[in-house]
Amino acid sequence: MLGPYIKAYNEAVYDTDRELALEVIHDAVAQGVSPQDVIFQIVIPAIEQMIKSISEDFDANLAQHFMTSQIAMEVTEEMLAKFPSKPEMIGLMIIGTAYGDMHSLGKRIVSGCLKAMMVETIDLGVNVEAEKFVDAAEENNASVIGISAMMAHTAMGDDGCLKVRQILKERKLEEQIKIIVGGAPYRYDHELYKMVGADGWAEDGITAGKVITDLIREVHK
Amino acid sequence: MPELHVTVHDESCRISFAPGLTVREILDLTDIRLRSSCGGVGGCGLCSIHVISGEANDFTSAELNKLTPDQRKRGIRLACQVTPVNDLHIILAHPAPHSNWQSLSSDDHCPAFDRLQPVKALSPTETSLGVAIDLGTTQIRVSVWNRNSAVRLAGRSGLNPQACFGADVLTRMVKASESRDSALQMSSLAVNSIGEALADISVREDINLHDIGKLVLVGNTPMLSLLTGKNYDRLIVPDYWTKEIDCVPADVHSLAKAWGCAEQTAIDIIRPMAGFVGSDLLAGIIATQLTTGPAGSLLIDFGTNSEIALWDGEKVWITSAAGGPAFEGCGISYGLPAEPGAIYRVKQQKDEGYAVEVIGGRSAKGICGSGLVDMIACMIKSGHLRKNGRFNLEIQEEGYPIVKGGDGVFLKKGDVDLFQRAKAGIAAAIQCLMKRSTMNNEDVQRIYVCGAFGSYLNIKNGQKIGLLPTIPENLVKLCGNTALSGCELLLFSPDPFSALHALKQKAQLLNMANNVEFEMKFIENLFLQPMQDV
Repeated sequence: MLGPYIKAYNEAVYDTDRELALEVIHDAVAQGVSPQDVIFQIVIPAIEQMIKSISEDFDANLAQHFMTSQIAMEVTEEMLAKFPSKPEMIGLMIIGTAYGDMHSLGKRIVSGCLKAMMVETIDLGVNVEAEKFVDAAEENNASVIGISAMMAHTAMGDDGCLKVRQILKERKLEEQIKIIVGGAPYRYDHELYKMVGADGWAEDGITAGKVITDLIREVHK
Repeated sequence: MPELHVTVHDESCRISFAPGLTVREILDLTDIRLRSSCGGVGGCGLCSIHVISGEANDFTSAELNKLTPDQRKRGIRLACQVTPVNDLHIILAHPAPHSNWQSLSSDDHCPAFDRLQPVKALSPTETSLGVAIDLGTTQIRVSVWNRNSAVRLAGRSGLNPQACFGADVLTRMVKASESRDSALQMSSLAVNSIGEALADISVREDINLHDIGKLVLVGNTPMLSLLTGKNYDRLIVPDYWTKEIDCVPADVHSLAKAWGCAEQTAIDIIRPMAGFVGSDLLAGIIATQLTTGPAGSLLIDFGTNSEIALWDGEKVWITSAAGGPAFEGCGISYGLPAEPGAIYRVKQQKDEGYAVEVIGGRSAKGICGSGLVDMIACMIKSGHLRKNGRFNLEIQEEGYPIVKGGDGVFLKKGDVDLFQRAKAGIAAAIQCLMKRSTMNNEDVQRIYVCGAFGSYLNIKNGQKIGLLPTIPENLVKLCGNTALSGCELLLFSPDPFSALHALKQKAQLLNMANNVEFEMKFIENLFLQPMQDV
């Protein structure tokens, strides 16, 4: 029964046709497809397919990532509101851009994908001080801190991830809170995330979803 | 010591080097300059070289990312990533140009010229010559005037030699903040470069620099702070972007001396308004008379950073948008600034091919911003490109041919992507300004397109893909370099400071960073289609 909707939604997402994608989903719901099935059988597989095509595509299209994750976020928000009981989230993550960094779009994609993958996020915005990251993670009992940095000096600088790591160490929180980083500098040097003291990194918003899910599982083990 | 054998345009030289340095670091010690916009982290791909022979490290992950398998097979590498192990022979096909000065063309004029009034009240002791300077990130422009007759005696433009520290402003700011030596070097590069331009004018136009009575200089805030060596470290801290930054030199005598002027020459470095509102933009607003025009006048200054100003009849709303370098060819596979060899116009032909026009009329080496706009608009029209930026046809690895053949020019998927993001940033900023001043597309009465990119822009094509609001073509003015024109007006103004002060009183600054509305608009504007309603 879901087959035609999956196909139609995938085609709409591939074309980044937001209206058509929403139409397909609304149609599915009207025909009795549950909001859970929309997320788990239609939206998430579409994201996974995107991950696959990105890893195979030499120069993947960033503009298209923005557009498709925006659609995924919209559909998910709409469906979550329709869940009969509050959906069970896998975990919670604090997200923001490194101190001194005002580039917020990468972070936005990650938030959109995570929501569809049942990871709750608290977005601290841009230009976030290291203490603020850790304070928020402690207060909200979050398992992961996600730090986005688009420039070499905010990725590698003393006030960014390095400082978050240092504070986690000081407060003895390293077991229960993991750090993931993302942004352009980490794509040029795949080992850079280790140098800045992160537990993981992701190439793009969609793969970030998987890495973060794994980190949360590790903490909850 | 091992030697690096470098061939540039049929000339060769050998440079001994200490092992462990990259090719970029080795060349930095000579006067051979590489193009670069990422500061040497393998991010931009502009420093590509051809390795002929010798031993070096394996391809780095940045190179695997930037270079196609075919390029790698042919020995193409990135100079910032190659660390020679022993003697290495390389060919440098595209070195950065030397800082040589060209005469300003006569069409580098702007409407402002008609408004220049001779300065009548020069006192007998005042000397008659005046100089206006626009210190840009990429280009420096200088003009010398007779203030008595309001005649331009000479003009020069040349590249800002600070480019060897990074093509964009931010890379230079970071370098300066990390090392005082670099900051001092960048300062003296800019000072000396202006000095060279003036010396060139002096020699070739037979002008005595001691007759310069007044010199006025405008620039974006980072350029001014690097020139004077003041507060450049603040500019990488976002909190300062909307705050006033002091970058007026304590001592202008040393500048007068470095520029060969007399000691008593009046030198006015026009104060910027904030971190992202330089005095170049203020000059542009003055040159276009934005704030005396109808409400709904929009100014877009396309540059390495793009500034946008919208006049609503009472206030002038100002912001800045990143993503400009794409319009100057930066980061585009076959991208070039608007210089000889660049395709600046593209037209679809009946037989599927494209007719291109090249600056300087020779064969095409690459494509500049206005050519890119035409090309993308043509492909949208023919259906070869979807409005989401995907090609609608199978393309080869080298990209979609704009000019076919071995020396062809190609458009890649990544180029369209980069362009989409650059134009979306500008369009989103325009729409946010409109929204804040409660205007809509139909309220826009006039658009001033400033910057070198604007000179060749096909307005209809720009509107078709959402670069500019869709208003009648005759209301869109292509103004060229308005910063220098505005600076010239300031040179002739009897009271420039009250004019600037009045302008600052009307200005409202908006920072697009951390603006949720901007993000939503950005995503909407990624589509290659006419700008939607606010």
